[in-house]
Amino acid sequence: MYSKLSDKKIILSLNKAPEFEEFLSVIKVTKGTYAAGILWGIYRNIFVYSSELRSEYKRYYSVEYTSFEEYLFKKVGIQVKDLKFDLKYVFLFKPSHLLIDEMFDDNYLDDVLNVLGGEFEN
Amino acid sequence: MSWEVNLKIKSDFISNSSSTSFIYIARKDFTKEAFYEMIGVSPESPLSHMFEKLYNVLSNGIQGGEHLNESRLKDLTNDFTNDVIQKAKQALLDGEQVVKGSLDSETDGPESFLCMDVFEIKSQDLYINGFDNYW
Repeated sequence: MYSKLSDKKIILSLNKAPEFEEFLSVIKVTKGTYAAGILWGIYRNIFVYSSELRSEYKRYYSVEYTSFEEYLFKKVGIQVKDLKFDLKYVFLFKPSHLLIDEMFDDNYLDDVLNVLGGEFEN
Repeated sequence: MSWEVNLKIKSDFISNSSSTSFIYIARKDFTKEAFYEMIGVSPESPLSHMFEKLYNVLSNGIQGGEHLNESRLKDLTNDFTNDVIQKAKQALLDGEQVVKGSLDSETDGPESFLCMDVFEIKSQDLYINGFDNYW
């Protein structure tokens, strides 16, 4: 599941962080093609140029903050209602790829995030 | 002496818009199915509508594009490589259509994306070259 934050960043929680090949497979795109190149840009925006907050919490902040929720609120500055905090991965990113940038009306951010949620949330 | 100063204040964002062009060479019609096959997308893709939009952008660019003949090919030398021009020249000799389409960066996300992307997509019957799309 995902939430849109006020600074246009997205917080996305999943139970699995897909490899790029898995991402291609779910979207039914052949590796090494032009469409795969487009999806690499989107994948990179979400999974590479992002922060995975749960691992950052575990590695650096679990002594300082007693819970992940407290770390999110006090350190990262976000409070997200109804976020499934029990999921393994919590990505924070700002959509900048033109096909998922909400600056344009005709963007596919929700579609991409719904595909990811449907496939990798459980 | 009195002064009157009128200032225009622009409150929304200011962008640097641009347009780029691409070359389309074909011996068959440019259909959505052919495009999906060229770029490696299954028709059952959950993001099929996104790729369909990219198809529509290119299709519109082709329909509104300039059909080139041999004398017009020399105008491509500033924007396209010699390989592309030779390919276009051979295509005209073979009776194929050669079209120069254009893309605008100030329309919507998909067209802006294609406008700024450098791409070459091809199949046995179709060829699209967007090497001009560098900023």
